Amino acid sequence: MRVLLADDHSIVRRGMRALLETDDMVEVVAEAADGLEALRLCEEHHPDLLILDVAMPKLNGIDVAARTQKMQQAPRSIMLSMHLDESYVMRAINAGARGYLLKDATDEDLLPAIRAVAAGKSFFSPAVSGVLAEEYMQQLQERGLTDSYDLLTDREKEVLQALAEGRANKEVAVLLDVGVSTIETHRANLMQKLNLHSTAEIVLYAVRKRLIV
Amino acid sequence: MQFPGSWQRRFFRTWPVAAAALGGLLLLIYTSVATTSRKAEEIYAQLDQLNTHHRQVENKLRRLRGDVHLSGIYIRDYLLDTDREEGPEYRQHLTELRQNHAATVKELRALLPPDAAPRMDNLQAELDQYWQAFEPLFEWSLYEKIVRSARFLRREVLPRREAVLAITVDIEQLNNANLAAQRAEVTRRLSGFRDDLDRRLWRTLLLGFVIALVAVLRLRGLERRSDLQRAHAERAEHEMRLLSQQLVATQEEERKKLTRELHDHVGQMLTALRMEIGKADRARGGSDLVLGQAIGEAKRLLDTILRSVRDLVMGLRPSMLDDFGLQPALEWHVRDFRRRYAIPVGLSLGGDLDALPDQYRTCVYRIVQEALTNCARHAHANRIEIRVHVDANTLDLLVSDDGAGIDPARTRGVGLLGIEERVRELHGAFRIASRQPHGTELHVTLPVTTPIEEAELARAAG
Repeated sequence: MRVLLADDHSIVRRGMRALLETDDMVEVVAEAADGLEALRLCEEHHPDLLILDVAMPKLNGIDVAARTQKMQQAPRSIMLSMHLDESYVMRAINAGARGYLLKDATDEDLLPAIRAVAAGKSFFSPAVSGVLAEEYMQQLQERGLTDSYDLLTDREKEVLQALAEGRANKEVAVLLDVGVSTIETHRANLMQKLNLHSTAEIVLYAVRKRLIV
Repeated sequence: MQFPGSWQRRFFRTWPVAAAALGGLLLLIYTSVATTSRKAEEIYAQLDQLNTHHRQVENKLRRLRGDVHLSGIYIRDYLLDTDREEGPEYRQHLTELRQNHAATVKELRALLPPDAAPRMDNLQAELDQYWQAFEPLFEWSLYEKIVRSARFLRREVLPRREAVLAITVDIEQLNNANLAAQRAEVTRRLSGFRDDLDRRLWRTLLLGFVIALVAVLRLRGLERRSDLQRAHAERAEHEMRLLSQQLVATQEEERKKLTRELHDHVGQMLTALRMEIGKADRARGGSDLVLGQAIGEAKRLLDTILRSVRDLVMGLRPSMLDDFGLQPALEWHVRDFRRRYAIPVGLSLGGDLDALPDQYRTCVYRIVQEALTNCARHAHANRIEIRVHVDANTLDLLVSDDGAGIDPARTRGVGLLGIEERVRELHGAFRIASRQPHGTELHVTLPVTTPIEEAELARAAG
């Protein structure tokens, strides 16, 4: 797996590189110190995976991820952030990120995250999903609502899980061995039941429900 | 600041002096008017008396002369009345006239000054002779009347009458002279009165002028000083405001700097350190349990520190305010607040918040932050509502709660003053009030100028 590391702190990059080099599967092809450099190196090296710090000079990590989505052979990306807040997570998911790691936990979470993403899944730091889940429960309680997850059929739950892990409709269809149109119907139903409006919201919901870690 | 003459203000008050001076002036005017009017009255009374006296004397003299002429006529009638020998009615007329004369002379003597006494004696004597001359007439026979009357009239009556008349004319002249003299005296008094009036007028005017001059000078001095003080106070206030705005701006700047410092350096170093420790842990190879325990403890400590740093950073200035804008920052803050205090907060946002300049975003964020902190500390609220709405030229912010309301006696804390300062800097309006039946409402409106408008304004201002 060819990886591009982008963080404006060389000491952090060095630490991550040392960590990544312990895994034979991973090869660090380039290091960037800011967002624009990350974009440039990305076009140059065509890595499979970007590991992006959210807070970077010139262009932040979320914007870098969003821009690389438009490239041919778009790389997958994992966000590193100091922030535990859903506004960051939501934006990262919207920008196409497959993973969101809290920087403190990089040491433990980075390699599992890379493996999950390499397997086509998503990964969120347990600390992040913990906070999001807690907030979600509190909001439900405040508004006097109950979680509608139990209203989903087993099939819909499977579709939700697969979509949240970052698979496209077609991949889910193959995985569950049904037609694409069936998946689309399940998807529309579950979105209506859970009051969700986009793929990003599906992912965020799954993180909140700790369906994916 | 010590003003020149401030000791004077403390020990010497002008108004009692001014009041005394003005009182004196009024008293002077009053006494002048009273005195002059009294004097004028006196003079007019004197003049009146003079004229009356003169007229009285003239009347008496005229009556005297008339009586003399009348007596002549009676005498002549009596003498020409040849039908009867005696004329008791004539005699009675004459007696009446003589009595009248005596009375008139007595009155005249009383009216005239002492220096006329010789003339009066003279008149008395002539009159006595005049009347005495008639005494024999009534003894006359008819014959005597016819024969002697013409001669008697010519020889006795006429000359004596002339003599009496001459004396009355003399007395009249004396009376006239007397009048003229007294009039001259009155005129002299009148001119004296006029001089006195002039003197009083000038004295009053002079005193009035001096008082007015002193008052005007004093007033001018006071006004100057008050202008100076006002200007000074305004300048001081302006400086204070500038200072406090600067303080707010500096505080914000410092927070940003500190946030960056904590996030970029301390945070990253700790992250790197965390990874180094991880490396050490991996290198340990799972054999050394004591070392493993120490490394685990170090990781936990580091996590605690990192969490503290993150909380510190977010408390100082939430990164989403700079990274994503006002809406995510407010949403995060509300979520964080709910988690900390378990008070439900409604957040409703309208309009294009992302287009707001940084200063406005910071201002709104800080106001909401402060308002929520106040609610949590003092209000005992069960629910808080935040409404932010932006349209083309106004930003409207309303924070309301259903808590205890504000105590008007409580002085505004530093937080509210900070809000006021931020609002003032953006030329907005700030209002905080208790709500019925309970709760507090904080309302802020800010005029919004786009960067283009601002540039135009700046160009217009030169």
